[in-house]
Amino acid sequence: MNLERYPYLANNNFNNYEFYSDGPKGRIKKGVRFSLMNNEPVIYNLAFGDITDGTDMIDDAVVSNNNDRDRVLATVANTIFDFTNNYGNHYIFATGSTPARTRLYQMGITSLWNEISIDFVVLGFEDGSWQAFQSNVNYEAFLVKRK
Amino acid sequence: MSNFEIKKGVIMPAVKKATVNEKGYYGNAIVSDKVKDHGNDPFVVKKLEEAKAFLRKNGLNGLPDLKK
Repeated sequence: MNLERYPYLANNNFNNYEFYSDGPKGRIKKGVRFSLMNNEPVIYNLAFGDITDGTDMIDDAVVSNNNDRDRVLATVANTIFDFTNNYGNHYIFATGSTPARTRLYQMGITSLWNEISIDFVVLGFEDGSWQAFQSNVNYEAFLVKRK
Repeated sequence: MSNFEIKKGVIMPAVKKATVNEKGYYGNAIVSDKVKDHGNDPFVVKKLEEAKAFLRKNGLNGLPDLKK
């Protein structure tokens, strides 16, 4: 995958990542956290959002609108490389906090699909089952796995 | 200047650690002890519980190659 991304930091356990979004709204600190959510098969949940000043905690209540959606998504996708290099090639579960947020994720995946599909299998949950990602379908959640 | 550029005369705790797996993929993360563990952040905990509930409710029907 050869997409423009931000430099990002990882903790020593490679399950927490941080980077800065740069855009019209300024520098916004972002965080990614992978957490084990299922053992058979192994699935990790991906939590992503802004790291708010003061609390130093991840939250996605704010829509940043920093005009860098694709670059942010590419950065998050790159953290999956680092994470799976250290934890094994397992499924990563992701969904937005709201249907609108999930739709934003879907738009981002669609926008970068030519590059994302080179390295990742992406499944979407729709109509009661997990299906191969299609750009014209609204999904409730996503499962991502490296090829 | 990039966010993580090394400043002259400043000791930086971050080290580049490129990892590679059997397929030859390299990670790009810069390891830093300044990165907090967000595992107990309320949003992260809530998202994890919601994800588990989603899986309990909807299952994994349609998921290919579970054994890989």
